[in-house]
Amino acid sequence: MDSQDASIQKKVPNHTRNSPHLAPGNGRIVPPHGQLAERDRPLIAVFCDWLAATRVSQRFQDLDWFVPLVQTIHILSIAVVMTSVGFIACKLLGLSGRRRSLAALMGGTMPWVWSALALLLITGTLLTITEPARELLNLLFRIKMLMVLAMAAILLLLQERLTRDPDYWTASAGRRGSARALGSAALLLAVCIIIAGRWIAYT
Amino acid sequence: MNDWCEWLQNLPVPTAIRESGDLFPAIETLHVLAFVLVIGSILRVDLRLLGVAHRRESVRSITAQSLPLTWTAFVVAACAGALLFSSKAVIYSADLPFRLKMICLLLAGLNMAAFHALTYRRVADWDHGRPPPAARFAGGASLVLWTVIVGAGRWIGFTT
Repeated sequence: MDSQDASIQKKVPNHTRNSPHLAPGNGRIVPPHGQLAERDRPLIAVFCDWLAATRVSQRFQDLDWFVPLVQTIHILSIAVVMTSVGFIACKLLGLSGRRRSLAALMGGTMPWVWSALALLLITGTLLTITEPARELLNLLFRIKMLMVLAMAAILLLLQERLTRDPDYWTASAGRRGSARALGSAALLLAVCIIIAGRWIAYT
Repeated sequence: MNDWCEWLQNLPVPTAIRESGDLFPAIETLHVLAFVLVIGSILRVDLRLLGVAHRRESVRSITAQSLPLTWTAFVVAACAGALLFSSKAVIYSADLPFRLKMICLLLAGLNMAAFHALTYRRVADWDHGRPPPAARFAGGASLVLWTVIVGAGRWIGFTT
């Protein structure tokens, strides 16, 4: 669907094809017009080259089905997290029915969210090992990771308070306001994480 | 078929999507945002039918919560998907993963229609307990089909 996706099949780290200080083809470092020599390159770029050259990364790169399969598991896990955060946010914002309490909803949903987040961490790590430069050198990827941490922290806070007191988030007007703000923030973060995730392929 | 695809992709909007650098990824992002909600909401129902998740909630309560989201998101995903298809209709229509995805979508639709027309009519009998084999089968088939739909969809990105 996009040319970046297809690049995995060429077994060349993405950045070596786009980066001005790397000679195409042979991968030799050439510092033209005062650009960085290898010893001055950012550590993260050196790490990406090292990781991409490791046996495990090369093995993953050689398997044509590996990236699409891992991405499929990644997307299914995103579906679980996104939908769950959507339901939780609707509840916090008072947009869903009152029949079921927030504590019951979180109790039934959060184990699935944490499992899916663990699966996302594993599949995301596998994808990063396969194409280190595509992720680690990408600003959007770094922003995405920060947003994932923020969203997980919000969910943890919401859940942790509920385990101590099932009515915690409805006990006062102030807490209801906080719950609405946290729910909106989690939902917004989930949407932005997906947007950033898809645009990594294009930047 | 090929003539029709060529006519379609040369219309003004598909041409604009193909030739603009940002329109395709923007519509694709909308497609992804919508279909993760389709999949996530269907998964809730499937897992309940299989007796794996949300066992304390009734089947009717789970479907009542999930289906409005499923349909709303599906309409958005389908519209965005149609726009993406139109931009490179000739290539996609000949693409194996794309065809596989469309066949599985059709099968998932038939599975859902059959479930609602036959098994779900007697939902009152098994609303709170373990769903009958026909319902478990429908849930399992749906789970498999939607997994293949996601996989084939992702695979399209590597073959076109």
